[in-house]
Amino acid sequence: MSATAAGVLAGLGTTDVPGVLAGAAGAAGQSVDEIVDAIRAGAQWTLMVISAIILVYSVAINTSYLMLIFLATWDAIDSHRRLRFFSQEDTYANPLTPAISVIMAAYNEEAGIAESVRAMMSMRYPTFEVVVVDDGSKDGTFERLRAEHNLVEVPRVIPDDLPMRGKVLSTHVPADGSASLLVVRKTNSGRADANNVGINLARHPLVCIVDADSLLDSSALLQVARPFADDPLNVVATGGVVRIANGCEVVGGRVAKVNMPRSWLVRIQVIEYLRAFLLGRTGWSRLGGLLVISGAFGLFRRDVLIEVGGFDPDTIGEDAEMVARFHRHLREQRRDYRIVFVSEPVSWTEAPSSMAVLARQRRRWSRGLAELLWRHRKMIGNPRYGRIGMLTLPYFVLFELLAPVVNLGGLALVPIALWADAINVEFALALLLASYGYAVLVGFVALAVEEYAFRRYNSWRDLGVAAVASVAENFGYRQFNAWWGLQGIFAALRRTKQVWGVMTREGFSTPGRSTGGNRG
Amino acid sequence: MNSAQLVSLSIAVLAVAVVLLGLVIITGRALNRHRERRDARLSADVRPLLMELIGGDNDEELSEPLLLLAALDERVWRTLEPSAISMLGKVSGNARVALVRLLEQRGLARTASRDLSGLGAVRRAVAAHVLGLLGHAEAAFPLVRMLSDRNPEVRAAAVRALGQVGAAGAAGPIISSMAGGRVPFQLVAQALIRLGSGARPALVKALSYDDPAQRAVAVEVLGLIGAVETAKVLVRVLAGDASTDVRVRAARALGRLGTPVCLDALLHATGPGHPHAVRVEAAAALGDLGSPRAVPTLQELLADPRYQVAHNAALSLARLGGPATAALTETLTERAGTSAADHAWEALAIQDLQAGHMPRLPASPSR
Amino acid sequence: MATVLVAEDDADIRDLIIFKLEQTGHTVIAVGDGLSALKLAHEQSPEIVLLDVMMPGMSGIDVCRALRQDPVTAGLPIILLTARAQESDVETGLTAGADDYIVKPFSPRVLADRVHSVLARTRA
Repeated sequence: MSATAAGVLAGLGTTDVPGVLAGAAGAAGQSVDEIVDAIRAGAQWTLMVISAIILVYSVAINTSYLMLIFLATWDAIDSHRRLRFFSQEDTYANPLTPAISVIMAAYNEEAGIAESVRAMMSMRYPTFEVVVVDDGSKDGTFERLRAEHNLVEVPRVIPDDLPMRGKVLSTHVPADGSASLLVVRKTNSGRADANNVGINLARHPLVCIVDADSLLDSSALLQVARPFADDPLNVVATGGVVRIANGCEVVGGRVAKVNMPRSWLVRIQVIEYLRAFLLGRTGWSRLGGLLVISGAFGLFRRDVLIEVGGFDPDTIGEDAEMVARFHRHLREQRRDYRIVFVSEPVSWTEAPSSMAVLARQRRRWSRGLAELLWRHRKMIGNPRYGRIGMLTLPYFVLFELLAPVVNLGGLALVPIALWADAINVEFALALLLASYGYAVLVGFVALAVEEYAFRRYNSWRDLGVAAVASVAENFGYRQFNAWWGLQGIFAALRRTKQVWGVMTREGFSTPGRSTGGNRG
Repeated sequence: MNSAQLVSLSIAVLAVAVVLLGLVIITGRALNRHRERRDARLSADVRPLLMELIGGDNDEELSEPLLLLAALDERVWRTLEPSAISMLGKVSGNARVALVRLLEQRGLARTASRDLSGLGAVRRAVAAHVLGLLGHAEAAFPLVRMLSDRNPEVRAAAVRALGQVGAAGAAGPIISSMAGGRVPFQLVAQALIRLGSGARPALVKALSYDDPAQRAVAVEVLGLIGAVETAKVLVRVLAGDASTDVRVRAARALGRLGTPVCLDALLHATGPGHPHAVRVEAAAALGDLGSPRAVPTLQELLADPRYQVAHNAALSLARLGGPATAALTETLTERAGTSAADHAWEALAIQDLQAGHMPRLPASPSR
Repeated sequence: MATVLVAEDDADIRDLIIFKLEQTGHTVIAVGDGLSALKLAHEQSPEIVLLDVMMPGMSGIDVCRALRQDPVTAGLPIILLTARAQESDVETGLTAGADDYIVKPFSPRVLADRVHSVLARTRA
């Protein structure tokens, strides 16, 4: 790595440092031409340093990806081997498998709610209840549910283990007296708060947070509950792989047949998800520094959820923020704990198929990450918070948050560099190609792991598509992504100021954020 | 070497690596498919024999398919063996007997016993798993040794296998194996449940161990297998164990056992002198137990300031039927406007639903 | 004798069921996943359906539910193959509209008898 950097420094530096200094020093009494030359030389030197930084950065980020992927491979092989002497049936048949309360917050989900709840209720798990929180929907969400399950109102007493902003209007259960479904109607207060209401009403020791429109495999609960059974004392939260449902055949709320989506924009996202879940989750889980459990499907211990105060309604990426709070709280209490990621696929989500929606999603993710890191800045680099403080958070700042800045910064430098005559065009292109080449390599490694451990895309054609998509991703998609990421960071910066302003003048305000359409 | 060369070199290296990886993926997949096809071809002729052995109506000890399969060439048998082993856990009755006979003939138990001392953890775990599936009583000895294996997966597989083998004498070693969290609680409990009544003495003995997790598992299992004769011992655990978790589990177990001794102990455990978690569980256990004698105590608990206690008392009252209805209605009038009345409304609503009519609702402002 | 549609993802168990049912004189259509079962239930009009509960994608219970919702297949006799006598499985299965269930590990003989008796019951 350092050898490459040194070589590039040599290649870029048509002038050496003393030369620049001499040029600058002698500029005073010289002609305009010489001054321009001196500026140019200075620019060359600065550019040289910046490009070296960018180069080292890009090598480092891709190498870190590779390392995380190898860690994930280890995990995948482990769980694959385990299948030979362990079956889900053991978890299923065990009378001590902990009961789960599934929380589904719904806002204007009229079209799909009945099917989602049905699918949810026919999950395979020994004991669980479904709590649907209708977050003040303006459409027929509740009416659909009432008709489908013959709901009647009951007077449930609502505990206030977690603070609630919305007002609970009524609680309903099926008229046949089966207690496994509860529908809560409340005034609109956003997804995070709706989840908190659901957690308050949850009767079981484990709480599963699910998007009302995500599709789950029928064994999803068994899969994500397994770590709790293996290590009941330490495991406090688990998550599973989320995959893209576009193009798949969906029947009765289940993904019945997996297909590669037709649009390239979505295909690239499929590859992106594969890689992200391998390295961003499984790899980190192996390291003991898992930061993100998708809000589309995560399982938590209820008592710990209550201890940390539930979801924060004032955050954009409330799911990741809560996991960060789990780490913070449990570290501060010096408790042994584990947050585990299960590498089996469990949940399916519709990926954006248009640029506009994708842009919105990515801006939101990046903004959420920026806000999370700002809020928990105290943990960054703080040995008190163990691996999460010393490893995960610094990594996220450096390689997740700042990646768009460096990526786009690199691109923006090219014209300046050309003007300054710091590099020749061919050389710049070659450098770019090398850095993309490394990224493609990382993508292929992820693909190879996928192929050996899971074999999800069966046809040769799908494999070809996946290969092409992991190359195509680098041209256009990656740059747009970086741009949206940058916008997200700016949005976070602006908002930070706004919130402070509001707080000093009139305390907390409650924006009625909608829950529709957003996912993280 | 100048930098331009270096960059071209790295591009070349990367390109080669990408192409190589691509080839690895493709050949890996092709090889895998080839292997599958070959195995399918090899086993195609003999697979029907296996099905006939398992599914046939032939109950003789030496049926034709058994003889043929037992004499199979090793290479062909190897393609069939995984199916035979996996089906062992999925069929019962005569089918299972026939399959076990075949696997004995092929020396599976011997190989598995030998593999127990193999180097690879996966091999040892698979061996333990197979021995459990075969259900050999003799396998209990080596499996007990595996309880102290250095690999957690192997220990877990051994615990499961011992449960399947059903050697009651293994109960003691199984309980000891969980010391220091070396084997998951739930697996130990499940194995002990499978061992049945023979495990009871070991379970009772475990109630006085120092490790709270071992006491907890013993309490939990005694409740689940309905060991009513141990109720008195469990009552003492509920009253005086040092660990709150063990006491909570004792309350749950007593609710399941349901003898009169249990009732008195649980009623007492809902009192203010006990830890919150114990009171919560005792209130729920009284519903499990199902005695109307619990009604007055539960009715008092409706007014408890802690939500979980009051809530569980309400749920238990709802399960106690007729005798509880009167108490609930009384609470509605006597404590109108308090949280006790709210909990009573909830319990009554559940009773209404169970009786098949619309739940009554309180006049709205009281909520 | 009847046409039986079998959905079971475990190839070994599927072959065993095919063997046993063919031996007792039934015609068997076997598939490995829920979606195909749903499609074939329409196209091949079997007289009885045997569904494994534990299948990836659509589980046996999902298929059962879908068959019951469709007027064409609503009356089809359905037997579920559930793993172990877990109450909740049986409960969800019967709520989803199954006529009977067989608990794994199962005896092939009992399976054949159960198919026979459910057929007899629904034909009567």
